[in-house]
Amino acid sequence: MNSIWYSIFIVGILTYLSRLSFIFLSDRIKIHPRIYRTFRFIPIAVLSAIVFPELIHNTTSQNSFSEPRLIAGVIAILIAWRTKNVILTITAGMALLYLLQFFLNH
Amino acid sequence: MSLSKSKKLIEFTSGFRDELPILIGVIPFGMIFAILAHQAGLSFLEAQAMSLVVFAGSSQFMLVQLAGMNSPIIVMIATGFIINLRHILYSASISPFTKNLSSPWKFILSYLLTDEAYAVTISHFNKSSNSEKHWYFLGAGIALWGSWQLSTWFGLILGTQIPANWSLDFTLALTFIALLVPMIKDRPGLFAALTAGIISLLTVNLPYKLDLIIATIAGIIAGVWSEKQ
Repeated sequence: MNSIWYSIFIVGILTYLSRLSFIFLSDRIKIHPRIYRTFRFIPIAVLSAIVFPELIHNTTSQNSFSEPRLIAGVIAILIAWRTKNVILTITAGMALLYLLQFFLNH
Repeated sequence: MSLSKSKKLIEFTSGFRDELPILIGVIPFGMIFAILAHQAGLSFLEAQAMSLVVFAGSSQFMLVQLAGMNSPIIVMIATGFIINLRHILYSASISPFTKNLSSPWKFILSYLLTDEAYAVTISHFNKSSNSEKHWYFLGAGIALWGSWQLSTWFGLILGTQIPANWSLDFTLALTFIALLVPMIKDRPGLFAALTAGIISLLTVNLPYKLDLIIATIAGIIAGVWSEKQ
């Protein structure tokens, strides 16, 4: 077995245990209601922490600032806020990115 | 059909259906993963096995990048593990709703607990009082799982025929924007989002994706603090 197979299985098992953790333990341990109230911030914080750097940097080349991504991303945020429409947000965001790349990079 | 059976079917199909718009962003992302895996020297089988066993997009991206750089195995495992620690938070957040399910249900739903299935499911769980709503989670999870496996496979078949300058990786950022923005309904939510986002920008060069963990914790603290004001 090479290192790829080891990393696939070990990361896979660790990821599965992370997913299982509270789902499995919830009827065995008591969680304080005050802690439950903090849970609503979890998805908001995680998704924001993933999205913000994506709008500034290109994932495939870490250190390059990308103006088209930032502008398309900010407009996509406004579209998502006004319409709450997933398909519109993604398609309009991609269309904007292509337009901006065409006009800013050529 | 009995009442409870039709309730299950309704929950399952609405979970599946609500996940479909998300797939517009997920499918290109899965294909790009496969192409990057191919470029990093992974075999067809290794790339597909990673999608099946790890089943978490952003860590899979990081793993193939590290593999392409011939990183030590311990770095690959530590990085993959740290990126995926956020699933503990998802597990905690969804656990009040899965508390009374049987063990097989818990094992299956845990496997299906991804960013995208979680985001769609938690907003449904928070407003539905249906006793069969775990079927909604199953529907959303299976829709995402199937599309992730198929898009990996499809990307492997297409190989390098999709040029990198199509910027298809941006669909993931847009998917997350579409999931995130409707969740922000009040000032503490906005505060949590901005704090997590700004901290992630300030810490973006930290090794092993520590930035994600630090920014997430900062965002949660900011939200809780703002709620008390």
